[in-house]
Amino acid sequence: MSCEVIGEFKSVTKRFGATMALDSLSLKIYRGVNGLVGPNGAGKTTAIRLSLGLIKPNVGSAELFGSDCWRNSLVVRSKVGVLYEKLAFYDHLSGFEQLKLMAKLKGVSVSLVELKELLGIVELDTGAHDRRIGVYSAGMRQRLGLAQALIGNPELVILDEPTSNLDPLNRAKILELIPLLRKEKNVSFLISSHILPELEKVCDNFILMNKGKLLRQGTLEQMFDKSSSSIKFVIKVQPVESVAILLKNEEYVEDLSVIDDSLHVVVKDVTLFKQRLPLLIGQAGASLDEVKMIESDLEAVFKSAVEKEA
Amino acid sequence: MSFRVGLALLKTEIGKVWGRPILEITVALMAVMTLMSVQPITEIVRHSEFLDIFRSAVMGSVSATVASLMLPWIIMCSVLMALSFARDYESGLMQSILSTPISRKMFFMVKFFAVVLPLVLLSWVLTTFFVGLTFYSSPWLVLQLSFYMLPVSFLSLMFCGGLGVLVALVVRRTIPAVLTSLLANFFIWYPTTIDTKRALMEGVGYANYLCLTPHDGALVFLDKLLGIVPKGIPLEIADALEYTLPASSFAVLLVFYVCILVIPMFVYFIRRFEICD
Repeated sequence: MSCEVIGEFKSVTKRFGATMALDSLSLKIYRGVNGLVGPNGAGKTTAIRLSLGLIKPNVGSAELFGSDCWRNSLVVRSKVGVLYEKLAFYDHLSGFEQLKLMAKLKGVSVSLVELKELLGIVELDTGAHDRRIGVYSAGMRQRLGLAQALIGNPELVILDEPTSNLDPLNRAKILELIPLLRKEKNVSFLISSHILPELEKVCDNFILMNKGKLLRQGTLEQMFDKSSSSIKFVIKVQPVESVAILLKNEEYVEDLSVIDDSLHVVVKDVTLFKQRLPLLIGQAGASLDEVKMIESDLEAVFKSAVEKEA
Repeated sequence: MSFRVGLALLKTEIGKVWGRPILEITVALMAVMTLMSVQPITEIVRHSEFLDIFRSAVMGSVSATVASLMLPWIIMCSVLMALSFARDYESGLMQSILSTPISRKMFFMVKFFAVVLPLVLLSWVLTTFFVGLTFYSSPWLVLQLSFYMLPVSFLSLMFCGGLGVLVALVVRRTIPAVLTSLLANFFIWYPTTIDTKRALMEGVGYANYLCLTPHDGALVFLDKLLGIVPKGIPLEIADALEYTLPASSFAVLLVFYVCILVIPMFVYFIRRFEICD
């Protein structure tokens, strides 16, 4: 994860009548792939809208690329591309015309070749782009939305539930696209999703929210540091007994058992465990084959944090 | 650059708004309204011995026809404006477009004029056409109407548009916004259906102020521009506002109505309106 901060929320509070959508929310968006995680009603979409100047904070301020998201929203929006969960287009236009219009609105001149390349990236180049958007399937609309978000090489692409309307195959394609664009075009992402294992694959910074508040932020490992949850690992190591003896004496190990030549370890401090394990293996003169976490890392942190909050 | 962007968006908005068979429906409505409101010329001729009586009858008939012909445009303006703002808000299109670096100012103007401008032009051309078709025997009157119809239609539809935006931004749901906008415009239209002269004769005090309502005011303004004066006004109601106020007063009044609706809506949209559906 890059340390460069591209956006920051400073004690942002947003109320809609009696509902507190964001409650003194402070977070940082880093250059890289940021995952926005939280249950329904956590305030993720409100945070996204606020970062684009669509809503005004009651208290606090939000900045993207050094510009205030409400006061200088035009500057912010010129550097950001967005794909909303609620997809909406000019349905009477073709996909191609829609992209041309969006390019104009973004103030960028995009050549025909570039547009075709973009449509190729999202696989809408097989004649589909000439048809009216009104007849597109949900998946096609999603892919067109992604192409629209990518138009004009934005510095940050915000994706709100980007894979919600896609089948597993297309879902995988989108997930492959994110690191590719990150690498080739240096695009940063802010991805809001409920599908945590997907986020885990592509994100390097996580923002965990609940009830409009920030619960945790950081890399997956940093999230574990702050988590009090116990995580179960399966370690394939030879010889298993000597490593088991050494691990038993470690204070962060809560439970340990040997099943089918594998060590099943429950640890309460993942960072310490990850630091100590290679040392212990070396000390035992053993060879490590595999270390596997039983539960999805992010899901474990998410559950633990939300339960703790409740 | 931004002007070109505005034009591109305007073209798309017009394509979206006018993609439905609105024009066809409106023309059909206007044809029906014309047939319903016009007094047959033959009947007027049969019972008229003198040219001035004939002319006066034709003018009265023109006035009634224009009043009827305005109604479809007012209905269209309410419906289209509510659809344009509330539906785009509800569907998420407004959110998508306002997430691009287009200013809210331009977005508002494009959406507003994509509805109002074609309506003004169509109402001007079609009203003149239908009135011309019916009153072909009075070409001078039709020519005058074609000249004066444009500003009256513009002010009237700007008012309707402003009302449509107000309703759409408050209600934010398509169907309730369309219905509320229609009801509001029918309510404001209602005074035009009241026979002011008779009401005043019967001593109904508020009838004196009906001509100050937006739609009735627009029709009185048009009558005054065309020189249509009701025949035989009794002395006791001769000082009523409808007869004493000059055309310029009605013009100022209509501009005022447009300003108090459209300007606050514009300012609210660009400074305070939040997309939080």
